Amino acid sequence: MLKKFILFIILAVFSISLIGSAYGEIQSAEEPAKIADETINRRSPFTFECDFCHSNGTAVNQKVPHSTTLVYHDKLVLQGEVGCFICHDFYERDKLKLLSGELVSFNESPKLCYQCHQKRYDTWLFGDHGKSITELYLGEDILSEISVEELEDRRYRCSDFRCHNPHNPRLYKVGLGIGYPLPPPMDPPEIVNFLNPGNDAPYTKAVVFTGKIFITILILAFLTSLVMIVNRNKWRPD
Amino acid sequence: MIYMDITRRNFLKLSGMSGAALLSGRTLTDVASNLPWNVEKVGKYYDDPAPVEGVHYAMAIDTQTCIGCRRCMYACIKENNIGRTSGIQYIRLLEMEESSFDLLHSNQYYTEAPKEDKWYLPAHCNQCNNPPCVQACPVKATWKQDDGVVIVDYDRCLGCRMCMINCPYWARKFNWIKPEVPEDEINPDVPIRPIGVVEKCTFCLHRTRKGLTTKCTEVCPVGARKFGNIADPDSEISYLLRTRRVTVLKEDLGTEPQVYYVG
Repeated sequence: MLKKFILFIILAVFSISLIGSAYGEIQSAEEPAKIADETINRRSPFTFECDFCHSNGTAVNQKVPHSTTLVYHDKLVLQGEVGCFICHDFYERDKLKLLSGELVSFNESPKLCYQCHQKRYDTWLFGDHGKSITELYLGEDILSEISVEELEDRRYRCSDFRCHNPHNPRLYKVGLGIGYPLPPPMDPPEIVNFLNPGNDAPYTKAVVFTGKIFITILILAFLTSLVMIVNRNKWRPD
Repeated sequence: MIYMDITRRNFLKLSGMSGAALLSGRTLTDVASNLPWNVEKVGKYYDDPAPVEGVHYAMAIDTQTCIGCRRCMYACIKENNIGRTSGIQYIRLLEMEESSFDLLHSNQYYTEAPKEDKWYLPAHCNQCNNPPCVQACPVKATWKQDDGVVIVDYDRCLGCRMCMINCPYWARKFNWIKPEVPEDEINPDVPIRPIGVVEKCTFCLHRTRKGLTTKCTEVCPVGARKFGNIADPDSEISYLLRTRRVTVLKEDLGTEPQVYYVG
């Protein structure tokens, strides 16, 4: 009996450790991928270091340049080829190329976007498109101290703040992060109903209680009136 | 004998409450706790800035950019000291079918957003220039101020809820239970409403009349909301309304809403 018990315990420990190790493997296999996806979604496009993969001049003009699928802007076509190099410079990978041939840094990306989206650019300059200067997350104290030029530097550019991914600028592709959208709205508490006293709120109970008393008083009054009607002859003086 | 100072307001409150108690289902205990001699008279002063001259506030909402994240809804609840258990929201987000304007069959309780084949419509008080809710009030507890904000006097409100019936935008909400606000989250600029009054969006007048924007405009991550003075032709919102296609909700009712939807 004791031997059987010990054997059972050993078997149980062994199986539990097996399951545990398998579970651990599954988790360790899945977690890094998830984290990587999140970091990609959260990272601003400016933090990609193009030089890391494409050293200057030695780059390749592949049809599918990245493992991630790029849509919209990478579908631009120039002379029959996929037009990565309409916006990117072939030799200097960390620079953007305007149609005029001028090279600009990634921080001046609005200049590049302006070439096609002029109306949007105008409204952005005016402050209507995107977050405007007055709507930035600044307290009242900072607003009085800071100069206008500094404020213009703080304004969100096209690809800042996860607004637009430059390769896929549609807004609903924006990674909102974990926990969004926030939970659905709560409805007001149920209106008190005599026929459906299922609500546990104290006022419901109180209303139901007063209602019961009211109804019992009504019934008593009705009964006494009945008795008086039945016995009406007895009340008459002879 | 107990001395009672029955002014006109108290008398109206009493008579209204005794009638409303039967209609609205409020208990006797609730009515008794709201009687004028039982209400705690707190001598707190709330900063109530007067409307600025030459200003008419309006809001424009870009429905192309709204992603339905509900950040504005919860920021508004915190900013305006709305009871967390009252089930009241000044802003509600409607998930609309693509290329339709069917407000009746919109979904408010979606859990996934943004979806590609849906669009999102934030709905709140439109601060109408011809407000039907003001006409409905029997005691003149609500009116339109000079800068375009329709406000409610919580002391004067009887809780008859006629304004809620007349409002075509479902903007007014009733305090069915006592608002519960956590003590560390109370905004000192806004009074906490008593039970049994109607409340609504005020365009954050405690902020906007001091030169700030509304809270919903500030927290919007995509900048879908624009708030400003349409009396000023150089303001952002005037430029927006001049250059984009604009619509309002239920235009045929003639309420002249001041919340414009830009598409």
